[in-house]
Amino acid sequence: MERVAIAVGLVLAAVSSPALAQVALRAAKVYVGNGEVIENGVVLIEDGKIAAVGADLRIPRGMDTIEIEEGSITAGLIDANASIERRDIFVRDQLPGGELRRLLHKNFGAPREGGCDSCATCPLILSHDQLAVGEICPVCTYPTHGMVSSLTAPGVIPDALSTEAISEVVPHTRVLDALNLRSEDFDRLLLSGVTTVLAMPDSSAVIGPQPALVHTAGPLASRVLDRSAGVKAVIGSDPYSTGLGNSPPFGGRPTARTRRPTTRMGVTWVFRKAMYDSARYEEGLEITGSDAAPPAALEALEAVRSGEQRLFVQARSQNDIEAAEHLTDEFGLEHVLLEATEAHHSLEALAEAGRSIVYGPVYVDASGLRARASDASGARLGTLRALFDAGLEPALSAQDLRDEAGLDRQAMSAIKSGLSDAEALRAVTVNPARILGMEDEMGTVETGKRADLVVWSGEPFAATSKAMVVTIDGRVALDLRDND
Amino acid sequence: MNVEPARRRIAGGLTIAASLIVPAVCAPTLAAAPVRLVVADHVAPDGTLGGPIAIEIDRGTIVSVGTPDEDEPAIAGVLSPGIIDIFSGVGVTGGTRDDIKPIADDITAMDAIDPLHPSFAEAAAAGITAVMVGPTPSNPVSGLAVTVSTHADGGVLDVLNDESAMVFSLGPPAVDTRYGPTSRAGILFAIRAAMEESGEDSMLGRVAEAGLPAIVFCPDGDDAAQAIQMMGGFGLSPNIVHSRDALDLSSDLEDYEGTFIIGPYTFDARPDVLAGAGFLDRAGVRVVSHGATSNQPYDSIRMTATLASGYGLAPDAARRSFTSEAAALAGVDDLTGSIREGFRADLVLWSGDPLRADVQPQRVWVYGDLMYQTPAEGSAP
Amino acid sequence: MVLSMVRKSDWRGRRAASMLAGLLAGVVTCGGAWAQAPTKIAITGGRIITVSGDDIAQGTVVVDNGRITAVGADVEIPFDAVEYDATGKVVFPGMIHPHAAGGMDVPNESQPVTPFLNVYDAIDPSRRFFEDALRDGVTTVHASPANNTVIGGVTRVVRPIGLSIAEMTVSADAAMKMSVTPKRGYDRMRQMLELREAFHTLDRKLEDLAEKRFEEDAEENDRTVRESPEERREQGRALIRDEDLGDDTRNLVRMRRGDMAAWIYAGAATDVGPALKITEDQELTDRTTLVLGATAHKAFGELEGKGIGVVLDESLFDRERDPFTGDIRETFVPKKAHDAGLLFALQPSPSSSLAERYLNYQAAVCVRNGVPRDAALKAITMNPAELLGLGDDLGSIDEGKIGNLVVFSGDPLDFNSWVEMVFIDGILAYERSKDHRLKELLRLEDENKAREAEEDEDADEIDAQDGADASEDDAAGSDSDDTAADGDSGADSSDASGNAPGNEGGEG
Repeated sequence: MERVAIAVGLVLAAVSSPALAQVALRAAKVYVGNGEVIENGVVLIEDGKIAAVGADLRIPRGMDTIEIEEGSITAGLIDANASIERRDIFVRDQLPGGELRRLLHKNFGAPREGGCDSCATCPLILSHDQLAVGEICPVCTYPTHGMVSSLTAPGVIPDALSTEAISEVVPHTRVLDALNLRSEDFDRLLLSGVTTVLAMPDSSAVIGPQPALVHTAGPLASRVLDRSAGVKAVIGSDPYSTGLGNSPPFGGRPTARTRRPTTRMGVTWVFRKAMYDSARYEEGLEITGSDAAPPAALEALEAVRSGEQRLFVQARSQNDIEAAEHLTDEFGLEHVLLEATEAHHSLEALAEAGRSIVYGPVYVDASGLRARASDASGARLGTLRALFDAGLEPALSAQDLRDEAGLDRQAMSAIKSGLSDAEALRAVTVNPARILGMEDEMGTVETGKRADLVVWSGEPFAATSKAMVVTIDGRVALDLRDND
Repeated sequence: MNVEPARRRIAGGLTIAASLIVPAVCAPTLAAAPVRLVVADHVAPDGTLGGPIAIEIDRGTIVSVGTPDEDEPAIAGVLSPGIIDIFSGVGVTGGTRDDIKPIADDITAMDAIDPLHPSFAEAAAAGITAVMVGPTPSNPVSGLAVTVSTHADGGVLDVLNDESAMVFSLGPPAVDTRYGPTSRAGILFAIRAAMEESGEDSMLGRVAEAGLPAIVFCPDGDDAAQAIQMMGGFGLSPNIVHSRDALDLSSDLEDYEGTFIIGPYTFDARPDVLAGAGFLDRAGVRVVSHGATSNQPYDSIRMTATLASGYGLAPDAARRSFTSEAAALAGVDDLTGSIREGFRADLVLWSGDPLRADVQPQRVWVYGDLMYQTPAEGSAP
Repeated sequence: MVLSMVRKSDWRGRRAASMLAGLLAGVVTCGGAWAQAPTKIAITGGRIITVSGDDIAQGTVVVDNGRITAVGADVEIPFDAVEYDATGKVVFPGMIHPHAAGGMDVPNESQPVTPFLNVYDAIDPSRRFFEDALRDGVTTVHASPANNTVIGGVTRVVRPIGLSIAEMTVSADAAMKMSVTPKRGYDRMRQMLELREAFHTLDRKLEDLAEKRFEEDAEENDRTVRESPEERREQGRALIRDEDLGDDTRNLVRMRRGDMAAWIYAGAATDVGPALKITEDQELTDRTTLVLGATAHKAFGELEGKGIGVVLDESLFDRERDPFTGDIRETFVPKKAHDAGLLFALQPSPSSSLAERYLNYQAAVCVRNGVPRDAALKAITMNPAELLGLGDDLGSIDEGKIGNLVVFSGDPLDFNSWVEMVFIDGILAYERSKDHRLKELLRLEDENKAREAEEDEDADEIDAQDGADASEDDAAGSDSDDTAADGDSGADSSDASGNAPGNEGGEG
């Protein structure tokens, strides 16, 4: 029993194999995504698109067939608010597994083994005392004492290089420039059946960089679907409390040049001023003031104000959700609401606006990104149910959670907390596709769409089944059939 | 791998004097008659060991390359083109770091070179015949790199190329916490915007439009991937300075036409790092060994190539990595870097295959001048 | 009120009554009072997963005096039994948390060698840990000092319900917790030195004591001492009485002579060898359980055929990076343990956001990754029961075992299944319909509004009706909030369970 190990390397090898021009997928059920379920379904793929879907379709001779008898086929999952790690920290060479886990888990209420302190696991613990609070330790790459408990969570390294910190308003920069498309994080997404992610920036800027819409596998040249898929703004405490807070990104004392808002009022003010400045800039007026956003940022905001560029607004608590509504209303903008932790308090307002929402993740005790957010305490398991009841057809996101908390497991949890199977499937396929304006290309198993498909070993979101085969644009990106 | 301090001292102290002891081979630039040099083995332009060779040197240039006549006495050893040191600290005085602005394309490293710097002679003693000096990569666009030979005689720089490449930088070194950019996204935005706006008259514009090579410092593997992608947007294949994740990157470089500058390799490096050069070579990427900076032994370039070949880089590619490929990177491959007719006589006579760690330079010629000779050979026992 | 969800007061009332009954009957046994619980219950109509044998598609479990007296498809329901209808549901043995450092304030003393400590002094019955355990279908918790120690102290097997530790206790002084993995701030050499030293010190003390006892004995009997020192010690050893032993030695001696098991933490593969050596040196092999870290699976080979059970890490995957290629290798540890023929138990992961905190989900992950279903189910029931030496009392639904039962709304490996009811010693300890905390988490804002609207204006009946229908359709049990809809089925059972047994007990 030496060969239990599955090397993710095998997965990658499959990815780089030449595209199969024609493939047929066959499973016990095909969940089309529009409510239809096809028994003994067959999906024929040609040239990266779905050529035909039906029950017991005749598979042309010579076509490669991938069949999982007890399995089911769904569209590839889409995470419309994904956080991608630049580096994979699930495995790090310098830390033994147990230690690492303890380090990662130290955020949670019941620490194991008598509490854990990330500094205690760093071989150069003493060096931490010599660094400024929040500075990244060169050895363990975690920020030092004091900040640690509020910063670090599984899957999250507060990476000083991820969001441009020269201004609170940086919509001209792109997440794609900070994204490692070869990150092992993508392999993990693939294992959860996720084929497309909107890679979101962190929430350290009020108006942050442009997210990128990317496939989770495939040739690098064709991975990027949209390098400039909108602009992410944040209403809430994150810009002044998380990440590196208001301290300069590489240590030292805050100066006038690193001045940032320190209250929710300040955050809202930065947003409003940037929008006004952008309008003035467009008219050719001079923008003054030490806190003026860079001209390039104001130019980028013109596309947001004109509606060409989609605006995402992250807001968790009720007051933030409602502040986001007021603010975008003030400028006649539409936005996609991210996270929406306490949306159950604002159902009427959201329903009235017909708000597009990317909710999630579903949780009891916060983990991942969420664990560092004090304003996400009002979470309820029933919120997603309520959003569906209000007719808002939200999407569900796992953000930075992977593996047993990844997007397929999120859907599983959502079903447990009240969604029907069909609703849960919609929340991770059709709904995010619609919110991202990609509904003509992905989200369902219908003829003519991209062949982004998942073959599950059983029912899609059952605890005992997993993604066995994943195709992206018709290429087999993951195939675990030989591993069992 | 030690460089004997005694030899270094001799070389650094009074190099030219040693050359007078061997009048037969000593060919000062002004010598009227061509000099014929017959060596038992040599490094051919393709990097392989090509067997016995006879060359003639006249006025600093190789005028003929051929096989020796029968029974003609040959000097034992291997004759190779001189080492070209990429991103060298040789000759630099006062540093090359400048944080004056993020897009510093009008800075040139030429201004930091001191023609009288003693390190030229030290470098020559290690077999280095040319150095590409670049600005410290402390800005997204850091400035121009230039190439000079180590034949800095009499305070006159022997300039081989005054526009070798434009140096770019990603990652923490290029970050400016006070004025920005502070992130890779910001760095790339700044570079992209500057390249889009630059006219053909600016140095940056010449990168975008006129084929001036770009060399990008990439502290992290994904910096390299980003640099290739970003420059690809301008139809360019940048040359990348990155070692650690080269193995990982090598599988993703199908249409890439640039050069990877790897090293310095050390014995305590992880095997997957040391294997990177070999993987790059097999993926069809050109590899240049990078070693010496001002505070490292000059032999570290050759050590990098030696370790790389020990971990899978083909020996011929390893030899090219500090000769012809390095010359191509520095834009001087029509002048030096190979033993060919019409090329500069920048040559090293090694006691054996230069890839072997126990081999030392016996004689070094720069532009036909014998710059160094082992004391053992020069002085009576 | 917090306690309302676990029906702690009810449960306690009945327990008190049962103890009273026990006293009246003149049967005063420590812990044996448990068997005097007067309740007789029958759980009918559900699919019974016995774990030890085949599933029963539709059957009845009868629990009398805390013990299961009958299981099967055609079981006669005693006339005086309180019936719980589990039709359409699944009856499963109560799950066992094999190694829990939760439920205590600080689970390790800072001193390294503390065999005199007992988790009895640390367990806090009011911790949410126990409430959560009950909600998640855990009926037995092995409370143990954590791993940051050399010799950590004495463990205890408890029920996650009760107002005092005595009331919670299933089995006191279950095991001695030790660790061969370095305590924080220690290296491996120091850890092993401390551990060996502890046993050497014990031996020295016992020798001194034996000699002293022998001499005292000789003096008392006016006997001339002719024996050699070895013989004196040998004979004196037999004369040592338990009360002679001090705090520092008593528990280790009890462990050696077999009164207590040895639970040893081996966090890495390299620690398994030293752990085995300690158990062999101290002759503990027949009662040792290893608590393993995620990377320790590499030493499974050393454990094969030794008969030593293992508790696997809460993280079921071990991931490591190939030093040459940089690829991540994943090993699914339970599959490897199963293939190696080890007796293994799973732990829940309290730090997970949602799924991994459930033991039955951990078992489902095992099935997903190739462990046979019955082996996965045993790893959360039978196996931990056997590791705790309670294999005859817990871990399956068989006649004679303790009536710890969980009623799931569906298959335990289906994540959508909710724990509907939990019985401990045949007493209803948890009901989902009365779990206010869970209800609050699942609560929908508009549902409240709908109810308010209903109260305000009776005229608007149609909307309220729609709301009730909609919520009833939801499998999530959001309907449980709506007392009107739920009343019929819920009220009966709660009345029956709440009053009838109590009255009965009182009369008895």
